[in-house]
Amino acid sequence: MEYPVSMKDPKGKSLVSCRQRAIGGLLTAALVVIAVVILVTQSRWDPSRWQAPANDTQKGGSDVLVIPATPADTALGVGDGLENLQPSPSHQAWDQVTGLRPLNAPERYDALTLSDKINGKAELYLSAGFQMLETRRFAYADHPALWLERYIYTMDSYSGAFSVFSRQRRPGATASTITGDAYRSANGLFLVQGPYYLELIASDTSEAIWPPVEALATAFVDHHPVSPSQRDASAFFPQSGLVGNSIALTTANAFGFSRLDQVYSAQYQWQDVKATAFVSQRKNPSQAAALASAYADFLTEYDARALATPPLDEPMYVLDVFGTFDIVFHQGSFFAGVHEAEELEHGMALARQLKDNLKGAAQ
Amino acid sequence: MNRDPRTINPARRDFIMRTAKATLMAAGAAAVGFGFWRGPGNAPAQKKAARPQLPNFSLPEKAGKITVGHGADRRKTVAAALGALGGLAAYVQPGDRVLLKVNAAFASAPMLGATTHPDLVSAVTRECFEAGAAKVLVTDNPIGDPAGCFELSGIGPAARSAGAGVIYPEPAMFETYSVPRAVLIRQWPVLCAPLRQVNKLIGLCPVKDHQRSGASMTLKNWYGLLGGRRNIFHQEIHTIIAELAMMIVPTLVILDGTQTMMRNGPTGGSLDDLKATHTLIAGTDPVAVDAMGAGLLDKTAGDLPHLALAEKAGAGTVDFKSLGPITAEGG
Repeated sequence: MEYPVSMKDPKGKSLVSCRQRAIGGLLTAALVVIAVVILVTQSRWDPSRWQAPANDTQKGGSDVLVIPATPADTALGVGDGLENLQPSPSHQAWDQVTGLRPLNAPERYDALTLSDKINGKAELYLSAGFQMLETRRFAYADHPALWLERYIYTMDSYSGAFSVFSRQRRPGATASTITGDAYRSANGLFLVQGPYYLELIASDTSEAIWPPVEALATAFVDHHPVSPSQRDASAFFPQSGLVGNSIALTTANAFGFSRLDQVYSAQYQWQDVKATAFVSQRKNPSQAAALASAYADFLTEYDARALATPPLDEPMYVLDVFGTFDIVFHQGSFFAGVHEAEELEHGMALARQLKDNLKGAAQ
Repeated sequence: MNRDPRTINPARRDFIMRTAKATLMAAGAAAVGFGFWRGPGNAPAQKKAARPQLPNFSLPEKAGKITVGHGADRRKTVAAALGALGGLAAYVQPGDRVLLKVNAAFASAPMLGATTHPDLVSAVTRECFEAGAAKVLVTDNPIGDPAGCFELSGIGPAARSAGAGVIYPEPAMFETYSVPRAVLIRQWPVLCAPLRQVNKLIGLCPVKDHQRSGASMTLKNWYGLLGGRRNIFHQEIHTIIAELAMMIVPTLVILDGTQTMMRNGPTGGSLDDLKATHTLIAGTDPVAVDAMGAGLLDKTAGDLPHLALAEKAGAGTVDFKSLGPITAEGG
């Protein structure tokens, strides 16, 4: 049986109506237009166009591509540049601090653009629950050559903020009482307030920088009240031998092991002997026990030597890691231990103290 | 049996007619689509024009030179280090046009060590003019806004006060550039225009810890010549640094370790991140200079994989000792 291949009925009339033909034609035309536009646009792709636009509305300097040299008797110094930067109105209550005038509008960065501001340091924040960064520069009203920049990192939780705070803590810093987690360096103030990590970095180390810095920090803290911080795990570190301000939180890949997250650590030193204690609260005792076993296996895979387990109520994994000692255990839902103890005797004593402290918490 | 004539010739005729109509319609639609093109004004800068490779700024007769200056005063230390190289006049001749590629990446105060120190910029600029340079230019493509970065780092005022011109990067200065044998710097916007205006290139940068690469020194300094979304290269940080070493062959590099950023790099933020190492390294082999500079960070060349990659690519040697570094005291 043969089938007619023509689209016309026996009388020669087309089976496709004019309306159908018109719709089909328009759709085809639209597809072709889209395809051509895509091809033309793609052929003109320029990666330089993908640079993130600056939020700063200030455009200092001139339109001339090469800025001509000025006479050699012009004084050097940052003050020269500050005069070229026009102030911006402050619109945030915690930015209105006596003695400071904003130099620019707040700049904001998200996870995609964070490295546009802090470059290679972005990974530290991204791995700790980073959400947003806001920065702003301020000039000192009474000291024209001085300025400061404030960084407000919004993290997903207090622990994330504490993590980035603790991992960047400067040695020799002075504790500050603005919040429970705050310190001063020679030229800056660094603090945690709930999920926020703040850095206030001044351009100088003179005493003149401090009143506005502290006022700016206090204004932010007052406008962002938070509930008391949760640092239950780190509160169990024994005090004897504890190095001041050494408690830190590693949110991922602690000690190089991918399963160790949310681990508090603290440095210890007894004369010349050093060690690191660590604690991490897991969901339940079985998870803590499994993690302790897994970490011990991880060390063994890298040729750590398991030593005899001392007679304790619960087992401790004691390993010789190329001359230093790791002691690993769990107590209730806490995974804990001592890392890289330079002497086994001190390491075991610290581990027992830590275990006793956690035992009291687990009851 | 006779075939129905409508199943043969009319069908073929219909097919031809329909195909012709569809082709005409498609051509018309394509013409409409092409009409969206706004003309050359939207064309990527320099994309169509074939530009030559960037010049090799090195002086073959000065290959393998490296000196070390010690002291707390950058002006004196750099003078001593350059003196031990034979003086900057051995590298910059009368009439030369010199580009100083600085690190002005951040709007950071000079004392924090995150950018090239203004004292070094002014000192080297003045030495260039004393050697007879006709023009000295200073540039970088900062991470932040150029005005803020050059001014607040002190580099802009220092350069201008010494008589140098400061180049803020503009879109028209970038070329779509490819480094031969590279896998990352392919058809990528590079700040080429300043490099094509000069015949001598000197890199000036501080020694810094770097979260991703381990260190930021003279090779990493060329990162400031890249445009576009260059942060995507952080995932291949060692490879990109090695390719930068392939892309740029300078006359001289000066690595400032007067104050070394030991931690929290590359931005730092506190004086407590710095250590007074009072060392300044100058040389014609950037790989060797960086290999030597690693020691200021309490690291070795082996801790910085990009150095081995750069050496393998022929950009220099990590065995800086084989070059016989000359030590000079600055003050």
